[in-house]
Amino acid sequence: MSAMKALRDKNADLADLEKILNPTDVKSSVMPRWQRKALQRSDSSTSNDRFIPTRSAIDFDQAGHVMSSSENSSSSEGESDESKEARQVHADRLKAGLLDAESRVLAYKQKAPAPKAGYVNSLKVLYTAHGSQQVRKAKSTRHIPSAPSRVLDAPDLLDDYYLNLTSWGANNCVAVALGPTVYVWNAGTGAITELLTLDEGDDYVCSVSWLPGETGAGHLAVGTSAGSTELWDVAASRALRRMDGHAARVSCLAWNGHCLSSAGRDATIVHHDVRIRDHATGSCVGHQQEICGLSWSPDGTTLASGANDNCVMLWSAAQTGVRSQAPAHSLTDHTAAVKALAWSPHDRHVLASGGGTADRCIKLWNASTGINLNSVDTGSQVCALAWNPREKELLSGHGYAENQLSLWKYPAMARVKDLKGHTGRVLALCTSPDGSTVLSAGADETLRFWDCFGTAPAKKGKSRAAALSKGVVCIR
Amino acid sequence: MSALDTEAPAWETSKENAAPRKKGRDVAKLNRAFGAAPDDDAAIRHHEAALSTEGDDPLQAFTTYAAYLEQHRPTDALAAFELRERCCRAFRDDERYKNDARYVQMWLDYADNLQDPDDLFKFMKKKKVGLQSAAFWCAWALRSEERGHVKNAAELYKKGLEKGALPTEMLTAKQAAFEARAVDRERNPPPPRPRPRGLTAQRPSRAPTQQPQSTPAASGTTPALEIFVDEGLRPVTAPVDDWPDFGSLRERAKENTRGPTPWTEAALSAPKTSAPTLASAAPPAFDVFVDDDCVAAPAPAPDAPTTLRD
Repeated sequence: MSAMKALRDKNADLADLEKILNPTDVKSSVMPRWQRKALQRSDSSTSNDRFIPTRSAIDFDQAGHVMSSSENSSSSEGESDESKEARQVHADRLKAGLLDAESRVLAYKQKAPAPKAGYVNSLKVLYTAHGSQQVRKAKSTRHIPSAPSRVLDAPDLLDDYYLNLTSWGANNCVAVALGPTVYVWNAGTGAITELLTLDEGDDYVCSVSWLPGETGAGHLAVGTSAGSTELWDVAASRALRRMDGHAARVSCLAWNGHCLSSAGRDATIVHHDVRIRDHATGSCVGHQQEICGLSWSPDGTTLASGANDNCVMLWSAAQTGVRSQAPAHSLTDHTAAVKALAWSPHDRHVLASGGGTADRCIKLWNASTGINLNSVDTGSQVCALAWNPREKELLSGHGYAENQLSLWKYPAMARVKDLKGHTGRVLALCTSPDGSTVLSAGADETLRFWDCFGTAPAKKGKSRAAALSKGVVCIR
Repeated sequence: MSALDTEAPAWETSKENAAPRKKGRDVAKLNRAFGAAPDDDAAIRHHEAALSTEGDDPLQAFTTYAAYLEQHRPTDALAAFELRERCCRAFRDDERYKNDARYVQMWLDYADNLQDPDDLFKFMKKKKVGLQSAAFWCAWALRSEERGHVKNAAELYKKGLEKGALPTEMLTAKQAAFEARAVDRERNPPPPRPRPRGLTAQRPSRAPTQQPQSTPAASGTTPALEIFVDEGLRPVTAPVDDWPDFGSLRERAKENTRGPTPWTEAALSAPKTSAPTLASAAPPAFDVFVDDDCVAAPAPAPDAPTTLRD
């Protein structure tokens, strides 16, 4: 009995010792060295060490012959020079005819297996303008004009993938950040106001976001390269507050009721409560590099963030008051930076994300479980995504080299239409408050308005009259 | 654990801003381009000054400038494209470069960035640029194959071999690969493209009304038009005039592109009376805490145009 107890104690001690030596509660994203080496050993059938020859690449018969012939050639004596020369020439000819002339005794690596005949590397599409894939074309029941309805000039629009420089508010005003200045353009009247200019050295505006919803539609959040987030009352043209909390530029903003989430190059998301003096109520830590995409779900329960470290992380809203919150889900399927994030307005918990140059995929996720529902290769860098609020369609903005906007039918993910016109890559997409027009900002310093989502069905009777009147305005 | 402890290199933090390049990029140059303050205006000016069409080997200046732009301006894919356009057009009639490998490569890189390069290849053939270069024939055949003109691609490979384009091994290898792909395609044919809905609808076809034959006697004053009928139906090849210039992309597409309009003239639609405008917006459901220094400073008199006050 006591022996059993002693044994049990010994096992317990061993277990404790093991726990101390191999702490499992240390979360590290780096694989321990022993694990890495084990993987390497199990992975590769060939040795990675260049000083160990590969047995499978050595031809032992040839090697044996070469070694024995080099021994024999030195042993023959008592022969005349000519016959020795003749024998040497004969031996050389035999060797050249029968054996591989370049054969060595030891071989160190095997060549990679050749691709099957006729194989065309699909990455060709990455470096050339044309899309050589045969994508299914879905039929559309409505007419989608191929040309933009308006093109506006946006000089000094920063050509940076990681910034979010446009926002279209519920008050039908578009806020655009051009360098250090933010302009507000009223889409209904065409009036333009210069809201603010950052005057500190070479500071520039990195992100703008209108407070969503019909109430409070005149408030604009502005993120700067100095790391501060400003809240402006646009009707009165004055700053309401300046909020710190970041060590580097603030490249994305997202609103959830009264909570403003800001994220940027320091890879942390900070939640600001704009009603109280101590605004920084919570933070989310998890990303390793600059966060370029941030989006709250329409029901306000989940925050999705995409970063340059190729991860999409989902954070729960219940813990926005917590410091250094950990993500609920970490989705690592993308192989490039994720900026394009869009929650579906039709299905709850469905999130669409688009990858950068190396990935080029649009992936659909179930945010409550973190499962990947679908993945489509688009052929070029995905810069932005926007859902059609009425139909089940998804619009994506692309970069190198066609610079097109693609409309996809959901959930089949078949391409309905490509809208071409931008001569530089598409940087951002914004949907109008009535859900019929999409604004795309391009690296060619233009803003283009596309009527791709169709008009609201309630105005069916008046749509013809509206179209006619719009036509008259265009002509003038 | 702060993410700023292990600082990623400059090329990694801005990796999405670099246009993808077939031959890859030099890491040191990328780091410099995305670094603190890339000051390459002097280098650009120097390169621009070196460009000319006279001299011993003016093409070299163009190729070095294009390589420089590609490596040191990774975000701006348009600059290299326009430079290549300039170079191609400048030397299109120059005899010494007709089969120069660098010049042909310049044309092919330009074609890579076009949506529809068939016209460009035909222009090159007309001007006899790159006819002895296997790369030209392979590129043309590959683009034709991707658009679905398989027979055309097969003919192009044959023509390239006939002309004796060098290097021949490249042509034969690519041709073998193309044939393997064609066999594969026959074995697994791709799905047929869907036809537009309206055109497949069944409609009763109306037979064309027969025009009554006008007798020569009835026509009287005007004789009937005589048409030459070729019994053998041989194609008659008329001599094609010279094609002087291919034109830059901007010129060719200038009627298809829409330039930007001033902002104030471009109202999208009549404002809906129900949607909140800036001035009439209801205050938010919550009270925004206003910072002390923002309250102290008096709000500047708004000089907004009158339309905002409606």
